[in-house]
Formats: sequence, structure tokens, C-alpha cells
Amino acid sequence: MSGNKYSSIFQALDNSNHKGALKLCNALLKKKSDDSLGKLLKAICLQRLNEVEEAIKLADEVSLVPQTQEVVLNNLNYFYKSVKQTEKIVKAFEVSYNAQPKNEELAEGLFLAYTKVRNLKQQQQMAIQINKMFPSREHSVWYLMTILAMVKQDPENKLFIQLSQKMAEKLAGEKKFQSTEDLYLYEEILDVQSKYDEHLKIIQGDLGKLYTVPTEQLKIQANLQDKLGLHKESMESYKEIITRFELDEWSCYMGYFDQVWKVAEKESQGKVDKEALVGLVKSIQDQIKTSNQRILRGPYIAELEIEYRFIMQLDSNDDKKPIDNGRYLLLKELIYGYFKTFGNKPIYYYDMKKYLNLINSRVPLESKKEFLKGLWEMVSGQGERDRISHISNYYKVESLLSLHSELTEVQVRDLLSKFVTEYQLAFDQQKSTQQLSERVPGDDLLIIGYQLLMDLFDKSQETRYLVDAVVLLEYGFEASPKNFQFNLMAISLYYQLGDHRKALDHFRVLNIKNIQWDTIGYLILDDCIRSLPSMIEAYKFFEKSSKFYAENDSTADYIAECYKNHNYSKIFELQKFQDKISNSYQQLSSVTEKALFTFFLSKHKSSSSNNTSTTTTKDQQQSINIQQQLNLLQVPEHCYTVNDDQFKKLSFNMDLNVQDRFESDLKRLKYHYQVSTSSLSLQSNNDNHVSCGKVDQEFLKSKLVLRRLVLRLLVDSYRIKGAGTTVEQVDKYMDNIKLLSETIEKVKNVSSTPGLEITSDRDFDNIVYQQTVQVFTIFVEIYNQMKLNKNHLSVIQDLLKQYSQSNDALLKYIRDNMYISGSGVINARVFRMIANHFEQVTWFTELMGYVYSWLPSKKQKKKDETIVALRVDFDQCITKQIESLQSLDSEISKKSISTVTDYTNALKLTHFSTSTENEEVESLITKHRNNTIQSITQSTSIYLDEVLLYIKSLKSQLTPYLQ
Amino acid sequence: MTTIRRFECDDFFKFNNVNLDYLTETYYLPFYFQYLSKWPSLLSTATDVNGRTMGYILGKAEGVDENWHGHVTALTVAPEYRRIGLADRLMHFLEEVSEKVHNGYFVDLFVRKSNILAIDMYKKFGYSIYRTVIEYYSGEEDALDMRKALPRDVEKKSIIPLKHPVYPSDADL
Repeated sequence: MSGNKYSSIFQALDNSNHKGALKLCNALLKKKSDDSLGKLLKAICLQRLNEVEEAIKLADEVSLVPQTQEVVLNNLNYFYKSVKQTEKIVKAFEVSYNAQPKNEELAEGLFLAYTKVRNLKQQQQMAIQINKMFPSREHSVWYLMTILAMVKQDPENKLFIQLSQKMAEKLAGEKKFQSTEDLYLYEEILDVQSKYDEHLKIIQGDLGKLYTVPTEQLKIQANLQDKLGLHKESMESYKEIITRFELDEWSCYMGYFDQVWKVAEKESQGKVDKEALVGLVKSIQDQIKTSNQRILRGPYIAELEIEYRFIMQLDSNDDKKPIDNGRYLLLKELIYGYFKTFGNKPIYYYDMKKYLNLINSRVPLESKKEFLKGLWEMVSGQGERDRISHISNYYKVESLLSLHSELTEVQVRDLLSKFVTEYQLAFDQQKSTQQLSERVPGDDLLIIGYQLLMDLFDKSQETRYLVDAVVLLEYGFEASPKNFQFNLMAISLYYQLGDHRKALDHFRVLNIKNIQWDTIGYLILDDCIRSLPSMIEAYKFFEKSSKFYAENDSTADYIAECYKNHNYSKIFELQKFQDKISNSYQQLSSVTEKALFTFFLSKHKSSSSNNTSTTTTKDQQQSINIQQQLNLLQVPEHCYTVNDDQFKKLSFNMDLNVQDRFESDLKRLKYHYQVSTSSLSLQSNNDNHVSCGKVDQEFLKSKLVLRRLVLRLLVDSYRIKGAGTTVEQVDKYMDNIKLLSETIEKVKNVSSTPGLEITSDRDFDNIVYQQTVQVFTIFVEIYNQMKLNKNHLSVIQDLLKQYSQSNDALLKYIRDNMYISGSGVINARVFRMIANHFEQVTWFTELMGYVYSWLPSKKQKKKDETIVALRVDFDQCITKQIESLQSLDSEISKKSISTVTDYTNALKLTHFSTSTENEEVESLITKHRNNTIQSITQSTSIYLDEVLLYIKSLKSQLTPYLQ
Repeated sequence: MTTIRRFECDDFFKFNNVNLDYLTETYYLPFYFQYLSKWPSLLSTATDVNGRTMGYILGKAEGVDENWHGHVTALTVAPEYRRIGLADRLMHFLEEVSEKVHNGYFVDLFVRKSNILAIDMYKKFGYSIYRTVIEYYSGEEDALDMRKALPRDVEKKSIIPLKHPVYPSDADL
């Protein structure tokens, strides 16, 4: 068969012309029906055309025939990866290799196939086989790597350990280690056994010469010497690095100091010769000065670190005890000194954080104030270039020293006014030289301003602070459009203010891609799926993130690449990475949320696709996709399984430190995004589940379990509705409801009072949870009654009544909180309430549809009293549901379009700053504020229209049940 | 306080403060993994004392005979860590590895012709313009191919500038 034919098929596939490619394949196979490559390419076409089953059948045929062509095996690998059946590629290699055991390439291919699926036993067998048949240096090292992997998997297994040690010694003796990557294996084998002395000997001997970069070897050496208690020697190794090679390498300064203290402890009762230490550091400073190179930070911070260590050594057990005054003064002078040199760079804050934290926790308030006074004196004067950077750093320090936490509104406004005035002044001054790619000096001042406003909001929950905060961010964003910190902070603020469009705008600027969906997807996903008008957008985000998770399927290929390239040091790392992604909480959570969300969306398809003027053809296609997935039976099982093993391995990969914070570490991170995508709760500003850059893993896990159980119950309801339901199925269903209740207990806001009196958002959340359980219980109890003839009538009647009552309570709470203090301005918090409520009503509506189909019609002549009673209660419950939706509808329809003035009055927005000195700045801020309010009112109006459509959709689904 | 070490897979989870900068690309996994599995010694990252990523460099070793060299694929520093000489240190690291581990003749890199800031910076690091590659960036902007000779290139032949610009197809990339 001519290669030409294949290349045109490949080309068609590359161009996503799958139908064309399929045609070419068929033509090719007509002439030669058993052509492996042709068949395989056809399988790929079919798979892309969504005919997966047939595709797999075809590929399986190919995989059972021994292959020699690399191109066939590579494409089989590709194909099985894309249908997630990677184990079959191993089979294909086995078949091919067994047919040609003398083919080295196939032998290697099979070995590598085992590495990809991590079948160590087979991998070992194959390594032995290869070494027997095709002995080579490389193959011996493969074998050693295989044994090392077995040791790592089972560190207690003495046999493997001995084997690996013997093998490594043999290879070393035969001089078969030729690079540091080979040597890595030997080093690991020794480290696993804690044979550090042997490791040190090797590093210092002939094999150590494989390290051609001297510092690489020295760092390993220093570390080993430390482990062996050779602290003096370790100290010298580190010293050699910082004095001869890397004069700025901080890890080695730290290593050096650690050793100095350890030596002192051993030899001179902990007495460290400070003068000698400082002398060394100063000599490094001089060395740099005389060599005329750029000034390096390391040797200067080292002075601070020495002082820090002396302070910590004195009273290591008491982290509150005030620092000895003499030492404090020294520390202070050093921090001042560092400000002189580096105070005009943002790095100042990061470098000093550790030492400032010490001052924050162990220096009295008065001294802190005095410290800041001294620092302020070093700030450049008006008109000088460094002034704005100095001021930025000054206020970052002030914030870190906890002097911002107790400020009153007036004080905050004074500061804001100062910040903005200085910022604008510097901006105008430096506009001509400002590089577009760089941040504007002073941006951080605005971020501190944002922090101050968020603190005020935290205490008072007054929306006006949010508005001011967002205005400050918009002002910064206009001046410094490449500072993504403004965007990061604006996203969640806008959602809190009900402006979904602006939130999405800021998110788009970030342009997040690939792995960022896993690490910072939390910035948007949860808010976006809870925002009724952004649902199509949310769907796209889900698609993008799932594309990333599919990328991880190729990670195993690169593990094999490491073997091929003899870069062994990355193998365990890549495996760990692969696991972290496949067990990613974000991934597991988003498949569940996507399914629940698709279900919700498909139920309201008609409402969401007709309404928006922005609907494009692409959006319509998207809705078609959603429609296709309407069938609950098609929801893949992995979206709702709760597998304990998997849940134990959950990996929380969120990057919570992406947003800058210039605050003390002691302060909890209060204003934050909703981290999980499995929310079912209101965006709450006192959410304690994220703090200090960590998430509450147990809590998130429970939430995920909760959402999976809901999805599972939805799917099972659909199954139960169909024919052939077994008693076991119903029992299992009831067990899952029980499990759901238990899980809810774990995530519930316990402080809430029971009953139907909703007085807080927390109560609201809890009632929604409670209703979720009721929905499924009502369904299964009516099933029991109708299909299994159990007499559960009174239970059902109670449940229906409770459901209606809690429904009323929820709707009342929404109506009561709809407007800001009696004004015509919508309180954006209700949007999230509505979304959560609607989700649950959608489940209710769906399940009541199933129930309705079992109930005999009203006209039926022979009437069973129980059924009549049930029918009456059912009707009543549905009627009440419709009524309450109607009342929400009228409440919303009543709304008057708010204007900027309405908003300003309703929120009691005052002047941004208290001073009126700087009119120019004030008018700039006013411009941003008016724009912001205008945008919020417009978005709110769009939002409300959307809500009305959802109400309409829910009503139109419920009404037929009454006939 | 800067520590430079090899880039590790775990760094992917926390490089957002660097990668969100609009000039830094977040590639798809296979791209990174190709580098990690082939040239692990040419990928380094810089972290501050809190373990926060400051910047990183991705490089490779390629070419035949006297064209065997280290190449800088990506060099990036988070905005808040700029102007403290970090790029210099990362480049130095890559040069050292290109010289001592890979035994290359030179190190080269591509930079947008309009990126004056970066071009000046590389000049300061000892790089000179070897040639212009026409419309290298998405067929729109020219690239400057800048080079610095390593000790192995005793006569510094590798950095003699080409007289004429080349098209990407002729550039032997």
C-alpha cells in the first residue's frame, strides 16, 4: 500500500476532516481488508466521530495481530489512550513481541509499555529478558531502575534492597554509571537504606566526578555530612559554596548557619562566635563590592538572619516573650539598613517578612509605632523617583505589623486618600518612562487599600465597602492594565456585587490555560455555575478543564521517555504528578458538578437559549450538546461513585497563594473565593474553610461526597422510575438517602437554629440541605406506597407538608432580603440563594414528574381512598410550589430600574476619601464609581430577567402535574 | 533571598504568580514533559524564602557538531521579583550546565525584535545578535537570534553575525 494514501488520511485527520478520512480508510480497506494501519486509522476516525464501540472493536482486531511497524504501535498507543484503555496497548506489545522474540525494538517497546502502566513485576521480568537477549550498559541500568522502583514501592522488602545494592555495586565496578542521572539510582538506593556514609564516599570518590557542576556535588555532600553528624565538614562545604561559587544562594547560607549552630552545640555549649560569623558575611559583601558586580541581597539578609537566630536561640520556647531590647535595636537597624538599599523594590517586603513577623509577634505596640516612625523617615521626599516604591513598602510593613486591623472608617478613608494621591502623582510623573510590560510602582498601595476596605466589610457586612474596593481595583487596573492582581481580586468582588459580566471580563484577562484550570480554576468555577446568566460560559469552562485532565493521559508516555533518555531522576516525580492530577479534588469535583449542572441546564434549556441577545451559533451548538446529555442514564458512573480508596488519595492542588496579601501570617484569610466547586451553600464571608493558604480538606471531601450522593440519587431515581426495579435497588436508594443525611451533618453550619424561622444565610443553607433529603425521601416513599403497596401515607403527607413549609420559608427569606434596606436596589446575595434554591426545585420537579406518572388520573372511576388522599396532598404541594414561584415572580417584576443615584443613596455611598484637597483624583474615582454602579445595575437587570425565565420554566414544568 | 534549584513537577502547581503575567505562556503538559524527560538539568526555578516561585528557565541542548549548543526556550520572572538580577542568575545557571554538563559551543535564544528591554538585558549578559529570523513569531514579528559563545568555541566562531536575515524555514531551528 503506498505511503501516499496513509499520508492523505493523516492529513485529513490533522485537519479534523474525520468523515473524509473515514472515506479514505474505507477505500483503502476495500483493496486490502486486513491492512493494520488502515484499520487502526479507521478506528481513530470512528472514535472521533463518536462511534467508540465500533472503533474499539476494530482496534482490538489490530492489537491481536503481531505488529512490527512502529507507526502501528504508536497509533495503537494513541488510540487506547484516547479511549482510556491503556492496558490494551501492553497486550498489543506482548502479542507482537512473543511473535518475534528476537526483535530488540519490540522487546524495548514492551518493557516501556510496562513502565507506563506501572506493572513492576512484568517490568522486572522483561528487564531480565532484555538483558539476557540484548545485553547492553543501558539495559543494565534499566534493570537497576526497575529494582529501585520495586524498593520504593515496598521499602520493607529486604530481598529487593539487597538485590538493588548488589546490582548497583556491580555496575559501579564495571564503570557502567556514565552520568549523574545513572548515578542518581545508586545514590537513591543508598539513601533508602540510610547508608549516608557510603553515599558520601561515592560522591567524594571517582563517581563524584560525574558531577561536572561543582556546586551540585557540594550541596549533596554538605547534606550528607549533616546527616552523618559531620557538622564541621558540612559547614565547610556550605561555606565553600557561598564564598567561592554562589555568593547569593540563600539555601546555602541557611545550611551554613544550621551547621554553625550545630557545631557550637556540640563543641562550645551552644556558644556561637558572632563576630566571626558577621565577619564572614561582611567579607562576602566586600568581595562583591570589589568585583564590581550588581549588589546581591543574600549577604545582607544573612546579617539579619544571624541576629534572628541569636534571638530565637535565647528564648526558643516562648514565642510571645518580648525581644531583648539590645537585640531588637540591632535587628531594627539592619531592617532599616536593608531599606536603604532595597526599599525601592517590591522584593523588600518578601525578604523582610520573616523578620517583620518576629517583630509583629514579640514587640509591644508602642515600639512598633516607633519602628515605623523611623522607617518613614527613610522614605524619599516628594517628587523623588523612589518615593512611591518606598511608600508602598512602608505601608506593607505597617500592615504586616498589624497596625491596620483596628482602623476606623475615617482612618481608612484618610489612608485611601493618601494612597490614591501619591499613586496618581507618581503615575503622572513616571508615565513617559513606564513600560507597558511592567507594573506601575505603587500598585501595591492600592492593594493595601483594598485590604483595608475588605476589613471594614468583614466587620460590618456593608455593601458600600465592596463597591469602594472594586472601584479602587478598577482605578488600578486602568493605570496598570498588566497587573493581574487587580483582576484576581475583582472577580470574586464582582460576583458578590451581582455583576457577573464584569467578573467574567476580569477572568478573561487572566487567560488561564491547561494546568491552571486545576490550580486556579476555583477562582471562577463555583461562582460561575451558581450564576444563572453565566451558565453557558460555565459550561465552556468545564469543557476546557476536562481537556486538561485528558492531557494527563500522556504523562505515562513521558515516564517511558525518561527511561529512553536515561533521565531517571524524573521518573518518580512524574509518577507523583500523574497521581496528583488523576486524584485531583478539583477534577473529581468538576466531573460531578458538570453532570449536575448539565442536568439543571438541560431542564431549563428552553429558557436559557432563547433569552440572551448574545446567543451565537456556537452557544446554540453548546445547548444541543447539553440536550444530548439529558438522559440521566448516560451519566458516567465515575461522576457519582464514592470510592473510599480514591477519596483517601484526593489531592488538593489549588494554588491559594496566587493572590498577593500584605498582612501578618496570623491573620486568617477571611475574604476569599469559594474554593470548592461543590458548594450548595451561600457565598459566605465568614467561611472558615480556607485559612492561611490551606483548605479544610475533610470539609471539602464531605461536600464532594454530598454532591455525588445527590447525583447518584438522581440517576437512581430515573432507574427506579423505569420498569424492573428490584427491592434491593430501593433499599440501596434508601441507604444512600441516609448517607446523604449523615454527610449533610458534617458540612452543615452547626450554629444554626432548627425550625423554619430563617434568620440568617446559614439557616437558609441548612434548610436547602434539609429539603434535598426531603425531595428524595418523598420520591421513594411514594414509590413504596404506589408500587410496593406499603402503607406510608401519613409519612408522605407529613413530608409533603414539611417540604411546602420549608419552601415557603426559603422564598420568604429571599423576598425579605431582595432589596437593600427597602430601596429599589437588588441585594446581590439573593442571586446565590436563588441559584441554590432553583437547583433543588429542579430536582423536585423532575422527581415529581416521575411520581405523577404513577398516580392514576383524577377521572379514574374506581377510587382507592389512599390514592385520593395522596393525590390531594400531591396537588397541594405542587400548587404551593407554583404559587411561591409566582410570588417571587411578582416581587421581581415589581422592581424599578435602579439608577446610579438610587444606588448611591441606597448604599449610603459617601466620598471616597475624607479630604477634598485633590479634586482631580476625586473626580477620577467618581468616574470609576459611576461606571461601576452603572455596570452593576445593568448586570442586575439582565440577571433578574434570567431569573424570571427560570421561574417560567419551572412553572411550565410543574403545571401539567395538576391536570 | 533566592534559592535556585532544578525545576520539579510540583512547581507546576504553584507557578501561577509567574505565569499569570501576560507575556508568560502556560503550555500544555506534553510540552513541559518533553523538556523534563530530555533535559532535566536545563530547567531551573528560583524560589524565595517562603517557597514562593520567583521565576524559572526552560532550556534544551541541541544541534550537531559545532552547532551543538544550549538553547533558552523560556525565561520568566514574576513581576514583583524583577530588577534584582534574577534573570542573570538563571541564565548563568543554564550557561554553566550547557558548558559543563552538555559541553556545548554556545548558548542561544530568540527574542522579539520589539522587546528592547529584554534585548538590552541579554546584551548585558554578554549575548550578541547573531541573526534576524523573519516573521518568526506567528508570521508577524521578527525574532532576533542572540548568542553567547562558551569556552569550547575557542575562536568564537559561533557568534559571528550573519550578514542577511533568514526565514524560519532556512534557519535550521
